[in-house]
Amino acid sequence: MNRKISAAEFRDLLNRYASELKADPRRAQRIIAAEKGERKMKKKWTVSLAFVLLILLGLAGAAYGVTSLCRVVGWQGQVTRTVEPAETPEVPDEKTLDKESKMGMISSFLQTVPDEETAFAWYDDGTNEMSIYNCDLRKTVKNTNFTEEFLEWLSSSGMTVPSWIPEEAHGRCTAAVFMDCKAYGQYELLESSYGEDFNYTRFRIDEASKIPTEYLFGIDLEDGSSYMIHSYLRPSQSEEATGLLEGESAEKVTVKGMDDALLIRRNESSVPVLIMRRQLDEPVAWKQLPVRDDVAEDDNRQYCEEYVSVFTFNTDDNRETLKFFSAE
Amino acid sequence: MSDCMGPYTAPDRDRVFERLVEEYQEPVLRMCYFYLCDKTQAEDAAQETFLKLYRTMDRYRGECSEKTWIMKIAIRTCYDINRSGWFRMMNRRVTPEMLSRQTVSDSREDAEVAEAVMKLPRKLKEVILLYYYQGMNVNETADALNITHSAVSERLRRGREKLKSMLEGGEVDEQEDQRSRIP
Repeated sequence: MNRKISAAEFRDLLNRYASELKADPRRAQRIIAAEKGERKMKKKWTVSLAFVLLILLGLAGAAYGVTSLCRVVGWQGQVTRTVEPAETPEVPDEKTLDKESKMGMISSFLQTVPDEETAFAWYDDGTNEMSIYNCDLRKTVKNTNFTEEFLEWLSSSGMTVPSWIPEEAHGRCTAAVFMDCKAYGQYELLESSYGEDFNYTRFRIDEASKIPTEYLFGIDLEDGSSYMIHSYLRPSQSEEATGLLEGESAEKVTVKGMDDALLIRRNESSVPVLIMRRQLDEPVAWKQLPVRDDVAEDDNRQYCEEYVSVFTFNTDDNRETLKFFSAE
Repeated sequence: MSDCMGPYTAPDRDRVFERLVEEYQEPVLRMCYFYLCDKTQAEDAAQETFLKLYRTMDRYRGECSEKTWIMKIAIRTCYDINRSGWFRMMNRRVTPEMLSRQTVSDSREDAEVAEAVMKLPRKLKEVILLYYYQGMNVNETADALNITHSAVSERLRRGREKLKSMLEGGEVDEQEDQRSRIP
């Protein structure tokens, strides 16, 4: 395409492209009715929710591989077992506290976050009553330039590749840091921040934990590349690395600083996933948020292993991503 | 400010809400789609946007236009969905090429431009969608995104350049405030 188009043309063009998306003529009435308690809104199970449960089940100790996973592979890339696709994650019972109580608990918990740190929390009980709460109760954002402090964080708080971002890109990239902390698959605490022009915010939800239960780290470079690391801890060593979707293959690779690494490729897709693990220097524990009334406040599980995956949306630059991690 | 702007209080509240949903539902839904690149997620985001709208209507004081207000909620909702680690994890094996097949447009040009927009980095995509697609001005875009006017202008410039390069040589107008031409 090599011509100018007007803004009106641009709008028409996008509208035509998305013409399949139609308005729901009863949306307003349904929302009003639901809000007035006349009837509940029904939730469509989304792919993401199913995937959440899938991962949460995995973290809870269940084996990887529920619905869409066909094969489970070990860290050598070997298939350890196959999974029947008929298994479906169960919807958690709605044996939860009322919303105000949940909010109160979250608020109380947030009060324990140190002043210089920022917390963002939500509760999601799996229903469609929009149970996401943005708790902007405490917001003391600490900003810093994308410089040594950030790189120090990368290398000292569980990240294994201090030279993750090429030096020449330091002044041109923005960063997003996510830390998802959760337990038992019923809720999650999310602490996150988007870097705004080279800024970032560091979060720590529990000083005693030393490192978060989970974090996801993403870098968006100006050239459109988007690299991410998703990391979480496992309570114990697992010989099963991940599940493979139809058409995917697993190959053992070497990554500096990690004990094991698998490169997941898909035949026709150019979006590889690199998953890695390493033993932690010392066990760490996670303190739970007592949102539900049927779980203990403290989770005494000891996390001994860190598990990291990295992937990219940039379909042309996959080798570059892997180079950051010295995959061979 | 028009007489239909807030604050909205009973008994007009529901009636106004119905009008807002009718008027803005499709723009919100489509913008969420281009933001999230997923039809199901877009529908969820639109639903959540209007639910939040209904819950916060009483707080609307007409400081900004209705459209800015609603788009602000929609962008924030998409933002929250998009920044969820689970969303990203869920999408780890989804490529833009796969996403593009969810649409029905037969036009090659439509698809080319729409997919280029969807592939834009988030910050650039936000301003392009609000400014060009939703027809908001720089002030409204800045307000909706809670960023400065200069940041909007800069991102518009970068967004146009990015689109230009993605569309393989399309021309771009260098005038920041001239909405009439884009790559």
